[in-house]
Amino acid sequence: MSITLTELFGSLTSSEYKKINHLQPTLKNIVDTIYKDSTVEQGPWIAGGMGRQLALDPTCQEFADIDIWFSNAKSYEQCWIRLNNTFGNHMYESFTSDNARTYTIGDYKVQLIRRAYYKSLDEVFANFDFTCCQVAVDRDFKLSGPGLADARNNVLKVNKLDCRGFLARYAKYVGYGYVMPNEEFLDIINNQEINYEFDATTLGY
Amino acid sequence: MNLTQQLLDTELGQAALISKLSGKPAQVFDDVFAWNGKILDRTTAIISLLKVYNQVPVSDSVKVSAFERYYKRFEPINSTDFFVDVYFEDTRNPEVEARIWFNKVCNIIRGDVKELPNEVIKDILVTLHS
Repeated sequence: MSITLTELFGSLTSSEYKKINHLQPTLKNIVDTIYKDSTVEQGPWIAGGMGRQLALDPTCQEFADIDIWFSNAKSYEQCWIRLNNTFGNHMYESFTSDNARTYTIGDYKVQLIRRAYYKSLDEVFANFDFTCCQVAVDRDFKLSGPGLADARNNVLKVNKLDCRGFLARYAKYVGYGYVMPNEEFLDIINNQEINYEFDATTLGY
Repeated sequence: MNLTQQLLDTELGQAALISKLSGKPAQVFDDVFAWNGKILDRTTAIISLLKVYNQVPVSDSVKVSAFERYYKRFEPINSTDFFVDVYFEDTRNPEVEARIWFNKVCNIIRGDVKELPNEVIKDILVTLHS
């Protein structure tokens, strides 16, 4: 017995159709979905590049990526399911590694970080290499974090030195217009075993 | 310091000559350098150095940002040989223009030197932060 597509879809009632009518992938809808049923204590948390860009330009709507950090594997899975259920065909996986799964949702690149899980937002902040990344975005797009002033003032300072990826990450933020004080840069390059060879691992992909 | 005719005649000219002879950047003032005879700001010099010799990727958004800053900052000398200029078609596309410009910058700083030891890269980075 065979069935045509018209017969198949024609058999769907209007209420069943609504179940697969996904939300539009606007920035607000994406952030709402990420933070649905979340708490500040348990996460998930949006922090990093999106916060830094909003610190520079509060009207910014285009982000290199939206990084999401989690307190445990269950929270990670639940967030992934929420995004999938909410955006359906608007969402597809664009890159996967041990560190993160990256999804394109509409015009946005959403990165679910899984290289580690964090007990708190402060622990997420402590993990960033540069202070200007220590900016979180809450469900109302309010910014917080110890790096807010540096992010706004284009100041590049090391929070936690990663000798393997330092030069590549440094180049990225210099390219964005951030300036590292000469003394700080010279201290690092003269006194630390900085890596000069880069591949996908050292670049953190 | 402003980019004046006096600067062109003195500091920039000397730095350009030194950079051509050494193949390395020579400081003009603050964060402005000459490299193989061309004027570059520190940001452009760093990202192109690490792209050419260390394969550090540079995104299109960074290229556009560096390109726009360069054109604005060095506009007073855009008709001189020190300026890194590119030919544009009538239909302006900032990303394409930025890619062409950045590629030209990379070729300028590379010159004939295909590889550089890490120690030399380090020395150049130190110079760029002097």
